[in-house]
Amino acid sequence: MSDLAQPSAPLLDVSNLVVDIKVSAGTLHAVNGVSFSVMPGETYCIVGESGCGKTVATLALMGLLPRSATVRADRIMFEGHDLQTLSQEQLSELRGNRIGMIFQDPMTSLNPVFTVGNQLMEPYLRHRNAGRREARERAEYLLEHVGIQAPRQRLAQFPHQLSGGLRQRVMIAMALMCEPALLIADEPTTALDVTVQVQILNLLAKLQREFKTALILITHDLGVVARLADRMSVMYAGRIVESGTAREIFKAPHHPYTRGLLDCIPVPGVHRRLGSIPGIVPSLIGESEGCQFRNRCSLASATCVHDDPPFRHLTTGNGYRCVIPPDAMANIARQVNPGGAP
Amino acid sequence: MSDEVVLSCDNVSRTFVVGAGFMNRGRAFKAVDRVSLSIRRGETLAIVGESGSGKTTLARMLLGVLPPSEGTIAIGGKPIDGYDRLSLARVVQPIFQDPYSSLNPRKTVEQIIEAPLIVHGTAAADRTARVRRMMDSVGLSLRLIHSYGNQLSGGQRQRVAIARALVMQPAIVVCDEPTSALDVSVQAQILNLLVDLRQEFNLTYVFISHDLGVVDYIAADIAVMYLGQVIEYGKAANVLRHPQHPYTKVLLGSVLSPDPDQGLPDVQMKGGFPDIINPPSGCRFHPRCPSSLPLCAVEEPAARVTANGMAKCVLVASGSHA
Repeated sequence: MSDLAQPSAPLLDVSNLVVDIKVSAGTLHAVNGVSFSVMPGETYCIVGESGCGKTVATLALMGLLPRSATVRADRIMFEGHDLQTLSQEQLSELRGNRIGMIFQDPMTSLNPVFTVGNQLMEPYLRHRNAGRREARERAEYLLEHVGIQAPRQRLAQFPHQLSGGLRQRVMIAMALMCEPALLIADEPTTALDVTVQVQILNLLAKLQREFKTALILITHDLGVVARLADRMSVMYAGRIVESGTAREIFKAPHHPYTRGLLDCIPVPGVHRRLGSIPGIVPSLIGESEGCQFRNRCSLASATCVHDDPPFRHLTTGNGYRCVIPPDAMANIARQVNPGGAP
Repeated sequence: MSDEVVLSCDNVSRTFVVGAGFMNRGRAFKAVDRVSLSIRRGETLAIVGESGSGKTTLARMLLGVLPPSEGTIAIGGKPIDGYDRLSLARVVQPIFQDPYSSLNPRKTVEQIIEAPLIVHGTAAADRTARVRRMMDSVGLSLRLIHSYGNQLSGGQRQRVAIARALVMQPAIVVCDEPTSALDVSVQAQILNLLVDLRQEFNLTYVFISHDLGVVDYIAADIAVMYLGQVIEYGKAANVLRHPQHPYTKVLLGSVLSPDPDQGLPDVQMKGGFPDIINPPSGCRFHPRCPSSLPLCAVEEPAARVTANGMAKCVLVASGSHA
């Protein structure tokens, strides 16, 4: 984990991000007022279930959403520039250069008709004005760094000749070619076996320390978040419902959704009936009011139907979005969980 | 629960031939290699392993859709090749991983659940009643009876798949990663449902999964597979608490419980997943094993009786917690 005490300015500062997507049935409010910031070198996790908007939010930052999506924000500051004011050319100058991306599925995110070497070298040639020889050396150096044996031979291979774990290592090497300040990894280990997942996560953590890269990790897996995150946000239905330091959130989750999620995880050696969150995620198409989680929440009351829940700040620096104030929430948590631990 | 063994495998292997063509006989490899297992009525056996371990091939043989190349599978004491397709379907039913592709999008919930009853010649009046009863058991609102698959959420679809599997009242259900395509909150709903249904209908599950947390929650017994072989087999509580085989230890060490006080585990495993078509000599795990001996490259370890059950490793001392 990185040193949180450094008082430097955030690398990325997002305020009130809104993404609306036109669909045949109306407007889908995929992201609804999301704010967060990422410090240089830190690991920031965005966690949530399918459809909560975690991927759309990060694609919006990168300007990678289709035309049917409209993106608004008070600000999206990255290294002192507001990304909203940049042209497409300026944005693509940042992508792959200052910001690297790793996607979930290494099977589909590598181009099958180009060699690994060509794909690795492409961003470097493009952004660095470097010669092929220099780019090839850099590619070899990074392949070796991500734990690939015989990197020179691998450069000449095509993606289908590599296993899933190797492809994901190639993706990571590619994202690091230009030494980005920020790495965005969207479910980087979800398609991999558990033992490979641990190897890849260890690799990401090691490279991040070494290259002092900030990491935004998007995942649905709270186990990954607990082991890796400095700070985190929990998203539900397009909004951040809880955010702050990961340790505090796992030790004392406040939002009923966060608590429900933690109760749902089966852990080997811990025998209890699994908690489950009844119902399903609401449709985000069309206008809505009140708390989006109320239909699945055991603590919901009449106020939740109309009142937009406020984002409440805790003394720990964390915060959560709910009508129930912290002291009352702490009492409820104690009644549900006399031991205190989730 | 009883001591009646409802499903057993005796030295079951399955060989596939790859790369065969004109003037080319291809190469044979064993996707499943001499697997012996047995399950008692009302119990759940979990089969765990990573991709390429042969767990799905084994499941397909247990379902009778793939004949074993060697060995015998017996259901209710009778060899599986003694059943015809319909009578086998009355005893064993599957639940698959992906409820988005395992349901016909052009059929309503009622038509999907009813299909097995029509095939087996149940009278129409009886069918409707049984579909409704089944929907109630799996927690599907009757409002959804005329809905199509694409109108349902992932969790609802998996409930439909479960209802379809159970409507013939089978003794055995083979669940192949039934929750791995679902969100955690929905996964918990489905796991609790499977536990309740096991009780209600006295079901026997073969539960295939890569998630040891899920396995520990649902299964009494566990078989760990690596490259087609069962390398450890025993009571889930013992195997997960005192794993004997080095691979089981690695697998268990890779589980990321949501505990912020622990960092990432350091997995002591060398190399990548080996080539299944040319499996390593001796112990199949030896090239990656953190504690392999020179002997392991030469000699295939015999199955040893341990405190947990069985483990295939020369380092395992019989009958003790290593």
